Amino acid sequence: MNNDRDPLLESLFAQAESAPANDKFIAEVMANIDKRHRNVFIGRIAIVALLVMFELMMASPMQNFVGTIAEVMSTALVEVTNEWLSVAVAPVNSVAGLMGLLLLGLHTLFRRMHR
Amino acid sequence: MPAGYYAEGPEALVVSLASKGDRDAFAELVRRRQSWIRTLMLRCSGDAHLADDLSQQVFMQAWRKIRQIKEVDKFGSWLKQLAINEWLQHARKNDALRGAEGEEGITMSQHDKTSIAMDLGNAMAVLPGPVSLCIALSYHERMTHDEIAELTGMQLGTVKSHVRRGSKRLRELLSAYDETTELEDAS
Repeated sequence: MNNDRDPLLESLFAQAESAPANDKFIAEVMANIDKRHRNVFIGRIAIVALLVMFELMMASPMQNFVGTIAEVMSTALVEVTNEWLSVAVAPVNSVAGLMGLLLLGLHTLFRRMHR
Repeated sequence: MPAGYYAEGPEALVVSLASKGDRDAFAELVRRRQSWIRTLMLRCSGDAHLADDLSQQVFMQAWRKIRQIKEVDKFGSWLKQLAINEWLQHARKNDALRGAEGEEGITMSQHDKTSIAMDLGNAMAVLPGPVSLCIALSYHERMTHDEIAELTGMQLGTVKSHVRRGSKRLRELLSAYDETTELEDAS
């Protein structure tokens, strides 16, 4: 079958009444749009309120947690007595330095495997 | 803006204003396009209430996405695409429920525009969603099979098959009109 249409159906489709213009329909669409705007606005306010509450509740425990992590990360792995040597190896002589080197190694390995 | 500003403005300008968040411009677009979209949905679904509900969804989608519109002079085809997506999405969820009634054929009531629309609607309601969509786009929108395939994302062969099967089924269901036409032709 090509694009030829059945003449009877074509005639019925042409004669069938279209949906008449309806002002109530437009009002309903616009009312739904306004309702959605209201809901989005209320949703955003609720999210901001929740974030503020979370921040107020968690501020002190979060600070303690960050402080502990920073302390652990900067802990020296090997004790170096020489002052100059201690400064020179400081970037790698810590938990953070070790983790950094580990990530760098993994990254290099990953790149070599996928070359 | 003056009250008649939107009503008299070219559609591309109204679309452009609506895409910048102008609510009144969008209301004007709904006013201009509502009858067309509601009729397209009515042809697909065969149910006036469902058609209005789906059309509401189409315009809500349009408002949400109008900022993304790139070619303001192609608002009509953009809106039609939204309507088709809405219908296909509805059909996927509800196709099992379609065609439960009206299998035995339509008894022609009166030969006026309203009755024809009603009978056509009852017959279309029997067809599966994608089939009724292809029929509506072919007969109501007068689109070619290629255009339907492009717009709906269906394979060309599927579109052809849907139109052929749908037309055959509709002719069976609306055979009362066939006999009337033959009688009118004979007289």
